[in-house]
Order: sequence, then C-alpha cells, then structure tokens
Amino acid sequence: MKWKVAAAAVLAVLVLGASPARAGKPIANPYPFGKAEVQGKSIEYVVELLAIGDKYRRLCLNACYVQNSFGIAEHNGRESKNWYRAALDREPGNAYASVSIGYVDLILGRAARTTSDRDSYFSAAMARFREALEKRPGYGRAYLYMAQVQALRQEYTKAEKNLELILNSDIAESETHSWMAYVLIKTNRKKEAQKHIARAIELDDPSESARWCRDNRRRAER
Amino acid sequence: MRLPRTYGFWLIALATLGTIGCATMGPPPSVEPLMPRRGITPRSYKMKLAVFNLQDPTGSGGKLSESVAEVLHISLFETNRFELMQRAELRGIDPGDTKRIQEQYRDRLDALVVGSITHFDTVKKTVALNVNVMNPYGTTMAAKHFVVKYSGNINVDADRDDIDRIAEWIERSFPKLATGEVISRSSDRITVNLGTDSGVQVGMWMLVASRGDIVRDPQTGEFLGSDIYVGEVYVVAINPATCDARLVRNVNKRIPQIKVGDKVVFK
Repeated sequence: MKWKVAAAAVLAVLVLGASPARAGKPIANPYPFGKAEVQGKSIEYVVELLAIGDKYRRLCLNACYVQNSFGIAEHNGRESKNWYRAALDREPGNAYASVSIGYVDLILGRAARTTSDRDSYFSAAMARFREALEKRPGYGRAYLYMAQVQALRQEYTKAEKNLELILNSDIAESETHSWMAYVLIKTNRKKEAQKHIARAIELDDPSESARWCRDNRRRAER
Repeated sequence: MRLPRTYGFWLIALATLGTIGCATMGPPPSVEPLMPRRGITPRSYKMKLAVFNLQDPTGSGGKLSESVAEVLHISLFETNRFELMQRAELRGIDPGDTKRIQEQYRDRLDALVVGSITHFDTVKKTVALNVNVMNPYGTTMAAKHFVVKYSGNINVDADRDDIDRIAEWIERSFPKLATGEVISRSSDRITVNLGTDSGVQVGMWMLVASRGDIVRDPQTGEFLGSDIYVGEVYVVAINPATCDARLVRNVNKRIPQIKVGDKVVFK
C-alpha cells in the first residue's frame, strides 16, 4: 500500500510541477514552446518576453543584495536567462537580450562564493557582451559592462580603455564615472579619480552610483 | 601603571575604527540595463512647409495666385532653412478650403503657407497680399501684409525681389532655436525648459531626442553622435521660461516613449 502512495506522490509532483510556489506564476521554463502562455494569454511579442526576463532579473538582484541568498539568485538568474533566450529565438539580432543575459552573469559572478564560479560567470558574461556588440556596434551599455567585468578581474588597463570610449562620447552617466574612479583608485591615480567622483556626484544619475561615489570620496582623497 | 576604567571601551572603539579604515573598497554597483526605446523616423529634420496657391477674392489676379506661390516656393528653398513639399501636388488644390487642407496634410507637414490677394492696383501695378503661415492644427504662427509689384498686362509676372522679401520674413519668423530639455511629462503633453524668452512660438515643431548608440567614424574613430529621435511634438502654450508641447502619435498610432531629461531640438 505504501508504495502506491509514494508512486502517487511522485506522479503528482511530476504532473503539477516541482515547485508548488510556482502555481499561478508565469511558466518557469519557456523551452521548448511555440507559443508561451502566461496566465492564459499568449505571448507573441519579444517585448513581453523581455519584460518577464527583466522581472526575474530584478528578483535575481534582490536575492543577491537583499536576501543575500546565492541559491535563490542563481535560480532567478536561470529563469531570467531562459526568457531572454526565448526573445533571442524570435529576434536573433536583439542586443538588449544578449546584454541582459550577460548582466545576469555579471551579477551572479559578483555574488559567487568560489573563484571558479566567479570566473565561469564572468567568462559567460564577456561572451554575451561581445555578442551584443557584434549585433549593435555602438551599444554603450555593452562596453560599460565589459569594462566592469574587466575591472572586477583586475584587468584595469583594458577596463580603462573601454570606459574611456564611453567617456569620450556624450552618453556617460554617473555609473561610468564611478567605475572609472574605481579603476583609477585601484591603479593609484587618486587625483584623476577625484575628478570622476565629483562628476558622478554632480550628474547623480543613476543615484546608486552617485551614492557609491559619495561614500568613497574620502578614500580617493587619502 | 593603572589603566583607566574605560580602557576596554576605547580598545574596542579603536579596533572598530581601524577595521573600518582598513576595509577594502568594494566595487561600484552595476546598474541594470534599461530596455532600449524604439526610435522614430521623423517626417522631416527641418521645418517642412508647403506653399499653396493664393486665394483671389478680387477675381482679377489671374495666374498671379499660382505664379506668386511658385516663386515663393523657390525663394523659400534658397533660404536652406526649410524642407519644402513638391508644388506639383499642390497646384490643383482649392486654396479656400483651408480646413480640408489642414486635415489632409496634418501627417505630412509642419506648416502651411497660405495667402490671399486683397487688392489689385492696375495703375500702380501692385498687388496687396496677406501671407499666413499656419500650423496644420490651425494655429496661426506668423501673418503679414505685403505689397508686391508686377509687370505685364495679360501674362503678369510678380517682382522676384518682393517675393524674396516674403521668403526672408518667413525665415526670420522661424529662427533656429537653442536645444532644450524635457522637464515634465503627463499623458500626451510635455513641458520644455524654453519659452518666449528663447524665441519659442505657439505651433512650432520639435523633435525629442534620446541617447542611443555611440556612432563613430570608422576611419578616425571620432565620436559623431549618439542621438535617436523618440518623438515629435508641437508647442501649444508658452510662458516666458517654459513651453507646453503636445505629442504626435507615431505611425503605429502609439504615443512615443518620452522621458524627463530627453533633449528637445527645434526643427
């Protein structure tokens, strides 16, 4: 009798899905499908696929920095990447989807606990950013994230080169200046770093980058 | 030597301060990418005009109503300030039916040049004209009375210099203005940080530009620009320092995605 109950339980799990928490939410893995269904509504637009990917990406970020749980972050990161890949299937030239997958890898690489995990995430991220730049050669975000990965890998010369590329155009935001300041501090050029910190604070967009500069202003002065 | 009672407290405080001071600096945050906005193809990059035949209530203008419009078209083109619609399509249109003209050309033009012959003096050989530049939504942007000399009796020719004067006046009425910025947005309206002090007039057209991809010269690597156009708007109300503009729906009948901080370029 017991084995019958166990078999029924296994069957129920297989039929209803591994995680009961997913009930009522968008289907977790959009592969393989011709037409994804989200709460009965068919998704035909790449924009909608990207928007769902963005939601999971936000959950991944939240798990990294608020919940401090790498397991949850990895799970949401995987979900997010699946949705972006689905968007890429429909629109292979979509550079935003490629950059978003790379961004998730970048975040996971930053939060990874072991060096090997970190390296593999960063390598995957770099590949995605390069792919995005092949699709859209002027995509500033891809250059910025490439520079971030290079800075985190302590390849400061390469990072500086990519950041300069963005700083020489008029699209530089606080984030670019904050990373430039970080690279300059790391290479002991604090005088130059101070200028970028001041500029990042002045621009104040995005505010989290400006906040980082405010918090680290003293470090650049020392 | 006896240590002070607060020795323990100071030791902990010093250790804490030391730890904070020596802590390695963490890298800056990696901000999420934003979904790129879809750019639009504006109907024109310069102010797009069409010169319609003049109305002739006097009934004595003859071919002048058409020839003045033809010469004015060329004079306006020579100013290099405007983009002009081909006259061929406009020749057969009744200039009196302004409302229909506005509706028909609303999606294709930024302004219409219309006018009428108000007086015909055969002794002085002059024609009095009222010239009116209007927005396709009905707002008069500039209007003036002109006297144009003509020659000939049956096949009359308007004086080119006088027509050039009209073209110069139109050019002066719409100078190229400074670049502004969107300072607020609500439904289909935006507020821009330029007003009458900067020369803005009701009915003027603007392009809203956002940061797009980095565009470089493939040979020299020189930065060429990064703007993409995300919307087209026209001024509906002005104050000394600001103006309100209304968004025009794009080809897909969608309201463009415009954000605070986007650049505004006058056509």
